[in-house]
Amino acid sequence: MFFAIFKFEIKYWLRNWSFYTYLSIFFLMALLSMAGASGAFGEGSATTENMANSPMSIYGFINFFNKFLLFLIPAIVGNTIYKDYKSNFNGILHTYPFTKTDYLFAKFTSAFLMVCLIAFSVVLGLILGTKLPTVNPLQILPFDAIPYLQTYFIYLIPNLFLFSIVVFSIVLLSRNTYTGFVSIVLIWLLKEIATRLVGAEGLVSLLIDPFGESAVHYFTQYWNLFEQNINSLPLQPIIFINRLVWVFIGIIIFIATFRWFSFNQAPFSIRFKINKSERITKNNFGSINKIRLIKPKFVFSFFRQIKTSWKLSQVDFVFIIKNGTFISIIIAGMLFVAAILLQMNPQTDTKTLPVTWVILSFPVFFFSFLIQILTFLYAGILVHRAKNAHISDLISTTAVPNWVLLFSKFLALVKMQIVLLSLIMVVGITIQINNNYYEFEIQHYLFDLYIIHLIGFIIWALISLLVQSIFSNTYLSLFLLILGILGISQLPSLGAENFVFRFNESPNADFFLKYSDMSGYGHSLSPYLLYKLYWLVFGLFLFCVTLLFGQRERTNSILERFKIALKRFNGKLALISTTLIVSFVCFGFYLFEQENKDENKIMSSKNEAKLLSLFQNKYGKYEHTIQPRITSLFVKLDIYPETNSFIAKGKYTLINKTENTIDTLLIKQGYDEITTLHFGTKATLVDEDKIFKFYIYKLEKGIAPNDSININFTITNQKNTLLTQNSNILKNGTYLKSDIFPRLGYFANTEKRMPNDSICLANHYQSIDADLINFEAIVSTTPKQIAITSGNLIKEWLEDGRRYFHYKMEKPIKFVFGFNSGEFAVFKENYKGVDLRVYYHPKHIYNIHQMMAGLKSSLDYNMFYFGAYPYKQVHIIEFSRSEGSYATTAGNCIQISEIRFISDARNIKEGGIDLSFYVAAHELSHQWWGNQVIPADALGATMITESVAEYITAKTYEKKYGKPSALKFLKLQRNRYLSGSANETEQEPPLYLVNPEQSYISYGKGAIALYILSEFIGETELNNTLKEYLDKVKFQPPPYTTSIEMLDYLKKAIPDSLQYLIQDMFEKNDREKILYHFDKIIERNNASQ
Amino acid sequence: MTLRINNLSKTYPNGVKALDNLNLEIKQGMFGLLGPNGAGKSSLMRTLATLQSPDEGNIFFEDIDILKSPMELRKVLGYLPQDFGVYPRMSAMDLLDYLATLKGIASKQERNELIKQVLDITNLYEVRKKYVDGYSGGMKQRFGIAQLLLNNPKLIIVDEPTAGLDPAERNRFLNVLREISSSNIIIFSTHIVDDIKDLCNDMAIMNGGRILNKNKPSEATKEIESKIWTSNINRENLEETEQNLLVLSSKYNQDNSINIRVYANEQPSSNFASTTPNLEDVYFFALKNNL
Repeated sequence: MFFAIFKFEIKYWLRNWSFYTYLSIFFLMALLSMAGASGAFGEGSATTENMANSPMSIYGFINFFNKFLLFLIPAIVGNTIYKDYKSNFNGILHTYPFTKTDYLFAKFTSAFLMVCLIAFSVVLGLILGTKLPTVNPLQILPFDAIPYLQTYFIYLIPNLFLFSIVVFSIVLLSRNTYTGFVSIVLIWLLKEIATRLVGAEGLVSLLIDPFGESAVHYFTQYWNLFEQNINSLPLQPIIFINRLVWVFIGIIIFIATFRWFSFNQAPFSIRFKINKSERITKNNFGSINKIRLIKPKFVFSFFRQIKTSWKLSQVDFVFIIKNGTFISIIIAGMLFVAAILLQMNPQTDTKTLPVTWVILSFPVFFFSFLIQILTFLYAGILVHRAKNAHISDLISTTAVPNWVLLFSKFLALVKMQIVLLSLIMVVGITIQINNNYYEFEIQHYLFDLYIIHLIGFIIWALISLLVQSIFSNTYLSLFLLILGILGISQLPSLGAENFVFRFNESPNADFFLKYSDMSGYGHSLSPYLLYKLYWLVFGLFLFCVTLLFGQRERTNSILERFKIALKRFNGKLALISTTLIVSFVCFGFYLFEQENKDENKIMSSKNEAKLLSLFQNKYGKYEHTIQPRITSLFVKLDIYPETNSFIAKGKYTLINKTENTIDTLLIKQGYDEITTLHFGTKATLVDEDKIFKFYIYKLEKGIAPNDSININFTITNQKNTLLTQNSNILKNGTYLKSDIFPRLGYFANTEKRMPNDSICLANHYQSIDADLINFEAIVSTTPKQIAITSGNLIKEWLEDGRRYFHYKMEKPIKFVFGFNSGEFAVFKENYKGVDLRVYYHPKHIYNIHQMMAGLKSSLDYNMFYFGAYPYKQVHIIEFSRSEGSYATTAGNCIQISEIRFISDARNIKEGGIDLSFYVAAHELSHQWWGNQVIPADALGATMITESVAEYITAKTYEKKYGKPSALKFLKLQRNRYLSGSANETEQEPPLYLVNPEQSYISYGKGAIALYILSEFIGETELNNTLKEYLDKVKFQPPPYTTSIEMLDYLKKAIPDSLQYLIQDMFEKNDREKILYHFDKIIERNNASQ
Repeated sequence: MTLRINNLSKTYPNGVKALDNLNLEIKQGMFGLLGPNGAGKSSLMRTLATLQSPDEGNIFFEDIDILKSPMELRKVLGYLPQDFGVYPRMSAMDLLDYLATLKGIASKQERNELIKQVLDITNLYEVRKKYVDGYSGGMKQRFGIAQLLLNNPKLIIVDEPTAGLDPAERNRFLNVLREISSSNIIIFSTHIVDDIKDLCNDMAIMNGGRILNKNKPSEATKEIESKIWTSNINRENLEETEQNLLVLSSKYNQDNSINIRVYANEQPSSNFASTTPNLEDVYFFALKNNL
């Protein structure tokens, strides 16, 4: 009997076209993904340096498809049970003389086998993907079956087994594939919740994951590129235990189901009310009645139809909501959102206050996918609802127009989406309250959720209704829609980069993460809404198409459906749909034009590298052309926050500091700006590169040695368009950097030289055209805002409705400065003769005291060990996070991103990190290390500036919060170094040759290295050595200092027995050694507690 | 009030010719459509109810061209399919309200009133708050009538409505139909000859997609007056008899002999007695004659 049922089921699937559809879809997806990663579609498609078919890569692919395959399980395993009930065949079938053993085992194994086959097609697709003729042979390793088999049998099959059992049992219980599908979503959500709550450490976290992913992640997270390519999958015992545990759980579930199930029972349902049992008998044995019915009024007006739609949508909406499975999704969803928000602040990292935009950005990002899937699913359930209930004949013969029915389903979907979005608000506010934060900004919630996000979901609803109306199989349509999402995300790599082609996407992909309390959505809101309107028009067109092809009458062939569509295409529908598609296309042309008009578009990611190398070929000969140095800048900058624009008028004084006459000037203008130059002497333009804004001028009368000329210039931003904002001026929290200014020299040399190469000593690490300059600026802005730049404020006045500030720097500074403008509140304090100020957004009161404390502690420490603070003031200025999330020093200003201003430092006592203190202290240290000690433009420059600054900051932190806290922070640096090292694509350099981009080395490794030194030779000893070095090189003109010189000083201070420390930590790139030293320090500290 | 069906044809993709150049004219009153399973009755019913399109032909109800303007017909149509389901967990009242809304009854008050009335007529008022998906077969059919009556239909199509009803239900059902037939056209299809006998003022016999005989029931039996004979024979002689004579029907007697009714222009043999033709005879004759 087992075999009879088994064979029958297998034959059923082998004859079913949907099986082959799934098979081919998965096979193709796997094939194309692997082919793409192997470079089969051109260079751009292989995005990493990883070998496409390394064991880790294979694992990654199969794991990805694993998730997809899960959604296949209800369609196969669920369906195998459901079809018996749906066709009502179970009534007959279950009275036949086979045992439930035969039945259940046969059903399960046949369905599971089918799932495994489809899963295997994924493996085949991956294997064949590497064999396509156009693959790049450098991207693939020779074929090895082992990793495929390992992943398939150790990870994929047990996962599929577990989920198949769960779906099988649930569908058996409920006689409904839908609940099987929902159970997968729920398990996934629960797994996400559990892993977030349990955290990344410990045995439990490795076992709690039914996918086995956390275990693999745990063992491979710090593998560097080389290891990732070569190593086979980790086969640690814990992984096997995880697999066995979950397979075992699956078996238990199966046994429980088996014992519970019997052929003659009703489906499982949870009753919340027990209805009283009543005895009902018929009492209608009378015969002839007079039938007199009222004659109601029939109204078919448009307004009435809308009301009807609304009412019908209520029925459908209540149907969705009252469903037990939907309620469980809501609960799981809320838990999921809560878990994400809790995980935003893991114990090991820094906390941010639960400001409303923070709450909105993370959950919505993750939750969106859930809402999309539910939209796809319920569109199908609603569209097919009448047919599945066999009531469609009654409904189709009523006089309700098709559009009323479709519109009512659309409304029901939108109501469902609104409910789901409301979850985010509910959970968000709960979490805010839970964190004692009460600035709810309800209107922000409402705008963000119900206008910004809802529009996108509405568009998904429209397309889901179309797909579900065309195909009668809900799950097939669901599958196709998910495939659609995948396809859309791949459009750019297939060449369709323009946003007019990318369905329901918006031009600023990270738009949702860029909300600033200072500048709001900034300029990204209008393009977003514009594109959403564009796709909404298309969505409405799709609605019309759905009306043409939606099922009302019975049809027997596709041809018949087209005939009916043709019949329906007349009158109002034809007019509306034609208008919509024509508008859409015209709108599309307009947007396409606007997109390509943007001059910056020329630099797409593929182009940039190519254009740069062309430039280098053409102009590389100018690399060593001597240029005069900028020695002073006077600028008048007018900032217009209301129109997001500015005008700058400036004057350079250039001095020829060489012994030869200079007659050629190489000028690079601001990339996004429009600059006009006026030379103080006659100059002719001899060559230009308009793409890079590079201009070569010949001077009629050259600049003699020690002579000077002036250059006057005017800079404005390019006109702002509908789609792009071309200036960094915001309506509040503006931070304009010095990159708008024209610069001298050949800038395209991106390679940094070795510190012992004497050529590079001529320039310092932050500019090739200036040493130190005299800086003076008059900045104007709107009266409500304060404008700040480097220097002391000489004068402030109002004129013609504008507010002016005149700044002048008392000592020369590097050519590094910025201009801030915003509606600030100011927190000031005078400390040890220095005027300390914090300019902050008035609502961001949370961290200003810590920043002030950081400044004071840093002043204490640095003044004590390294000498006086060179200027009279320190300004900390908050800038909008849309300009970045970093902090930087410029002259006597420290610009700090608003995100630091909303750190949550309220749990400092429990050992959290006081990030705002830390950032302020770090930046102030640069006033010695970076502004006084100025390294040359060579590798290792940031060792002198950042590593020392981090070390000093760790020390000030220690002074304020104690050694254990400081060590905690250093542990974060250790991890930063480790993960940066794992992601390193090139050979990792030693610390003294660090490249400016490798902040994981200069910050992470550097901080630890110097701290370890201080532990060995003593803090005072180390600091005195650093002071010696600083005194020698501070403010020195070229040739500038290098990391080699700093190391020489350190080596002098260290006894011979400890010289190995310098070698281990600074001169070699040995990761293990420095970690060993660091861990020893931690041990020692723990022991002494 | 007339329903005109002209040259209606429909062939399904599997090759079955469900409607074969069918012509019919139906006037006010109760019209019975009699035919065996697979005759094409349901196909015809569904086509009339705007649920299906024919390959050829046209249909006019008064001045509505049904195929071109189905929505106009739906406003005055009441349809009870052979087999239908309901939305789960909805009471009769709620479901009727839903359907009444679909039919275009705007006023809530009128809807409530009307629903109460149809529930009364179909004797479902006491169970109006119970879920329809829990109704017995008879109750469900009564619900079917209730929803049908909501929009005061002028063309009522019921497809095999009495199949599966107990005698009392069937009786009551047919009475309700008779009551509302006075000012409407009711077409009802069945394979139970008795249903047609008393109620219909016109009928047609259908098989293989064609109309075999259209007549008033009384006229139809008159047509085969004195051509129907009956006899009792042994079981073993049945096949032989069937080869020689046009046997319309055969039934077992209590003593296991068989009572047959045959159509013949003259008395076939002395064993046969003349008998009054009934509608069943008409039916079987039409079917067998067409083979």
